Amino acid sequence: MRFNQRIQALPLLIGLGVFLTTGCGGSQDEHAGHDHGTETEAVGGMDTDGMAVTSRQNTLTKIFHAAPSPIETASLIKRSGANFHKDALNGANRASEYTTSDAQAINLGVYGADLSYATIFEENSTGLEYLAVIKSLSAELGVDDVLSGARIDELEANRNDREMLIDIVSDTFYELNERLKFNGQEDLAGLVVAAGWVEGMYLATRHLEEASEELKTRIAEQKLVLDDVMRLCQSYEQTEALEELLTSMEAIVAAYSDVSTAEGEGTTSREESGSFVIGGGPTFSADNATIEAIASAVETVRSGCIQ
Amino acid sequence: MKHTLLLLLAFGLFTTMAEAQCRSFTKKNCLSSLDGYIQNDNYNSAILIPGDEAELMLTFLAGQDYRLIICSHPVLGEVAYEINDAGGKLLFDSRKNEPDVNYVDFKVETTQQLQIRVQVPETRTAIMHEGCVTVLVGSKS
Repeated sequence: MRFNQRIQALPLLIGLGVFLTTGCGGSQDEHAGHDHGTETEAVGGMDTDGMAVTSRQNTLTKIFHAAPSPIETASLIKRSGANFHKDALNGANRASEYTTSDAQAINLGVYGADLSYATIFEENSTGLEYLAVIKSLSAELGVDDVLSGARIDELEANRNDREMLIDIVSDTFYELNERLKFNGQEDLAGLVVAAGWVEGMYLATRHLEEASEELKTRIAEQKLVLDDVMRLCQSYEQTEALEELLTSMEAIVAAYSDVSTAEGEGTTSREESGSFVIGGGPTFSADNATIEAIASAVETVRSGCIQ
Repeated sequence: MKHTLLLLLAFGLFTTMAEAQCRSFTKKNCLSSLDGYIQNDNYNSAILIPGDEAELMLTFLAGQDYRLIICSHPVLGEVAYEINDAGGKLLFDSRKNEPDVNYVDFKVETTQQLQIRVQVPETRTAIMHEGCVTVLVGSKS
C-alpha cells in the first residue's frame, strides 16, 4: 500500500520539479500567456551546463531589477571634485553593535559604500579596515566565503594596488548579492542595496558648502537611481525591516520631487573604437534649497540605518 | 501529510538545483567577458525558453563606459537584445547593430534610465529546451 502511494506520487513530484525548475530564478515573472502547444517532457533538472528539456508551454516576460553600485556613485562623486572626509564614514569599530541579521545587512550596505568611497579616493588603508569589517558582518550572515582570507592577505601584500581593491570590492558585493538571493534572503539583499545607496548619498552630500555645481547636478541625477533602488527593493518580499527602510526613504523621494527634469530625445552614434554613444536623454537641475532638503532627508534615513 | 512533505522537499530541491546551475553557468561562461570592467552588484539570471523575453530597467551614469553582456546557453539560439530609452524609443538593436557578438560597449552623454529587452527566438522543434540567460552590466571610468 505504502509502495503504491509512493509510485502514485512519483509523477507528481517529477512534474512539480519540472514546473519549478522552469519557473525559477526571479521575483517578478509576468506570464504573457502565449501557447506554443509543444510536447510535455518530464525532466528532473538541468544539466551542469545550464540547459534542459522543458515542459513549460507558456512564454513569459522576466523582469530583472538592478541599480548602479556604490562604487559607480563614488566614482561620480570623485570626478565632480568632491574631497574625501573620513569622519563622515560609519566607524568600523561599531560593527559589533549590529547583532540582528537585518541590522547586519543594512550596515553591510553602509560599510560597502564607505569601502567604495575609500577605494575610489585611494585611501587604501581605510579600505582594508572596512574590508575586514565586511568580512566579519558577512560571516555573521553566513556568507563569509564571499570574501576569502587569502584575497585579503593578497591585498595586504599589495596595499597600494587600487585596481586590485576595486576588483575585490566589486567581486565581493556581486557574490554577496548572488548568495543572498540563492539562499532565499532577497530581503537582506534589498537592505544591502538600499542602505548602500543611502550611505553613498550621505557621503556625497557632506560639506555642501564646498560642493561644485557639477556635484550638485550629479546629486540631482540620483533621482533616477533612487527610482531603481525603490523598484528593486519593492520587488522583494516585504519584511518588516525592508518595509521600514523603504518607508523612511519616502522622505528622500519627496525631497527629490523638486528636482527639475528636461526631457531630450535619445540618439545613437558610433565611435571609431566601435563603442556606441547614446546621446540626448534627460537633464536634471536643482536649486540649493532642494539639494539641502535632499541632504537633510538622506541624513535622517542614514542615522536610522547606523543606530 | 507525507505527500505534502515530499512535495515541499521536491520544491526546495528542484528550485535550488536549477538556480545553482544558472549560478555555475554564469561563473563559467559569462563573468570573464567583463574583464577590465567593474561588474554591477546585482545578479540577474533566469531560466528561459524559446519565445520568452526579459527586461531590465537601469540607470546609466554619464561619464562611465559600459559593457552590457547577454550571456545565454547556446541551446536557445541567437538571443537578441535591444536598448530603448525611458520613453520606449529604440536606440540599439543587436540584430542590426552587433549581430555577431553577445555584448555591446557604450556610454551615455547624460545620466538616464535605459530599458534592456532580451528576446529568446521561437523554435519549431518538437522538443523545446530551456536554458540560462544572464544579463551582466559592467562599468569603468
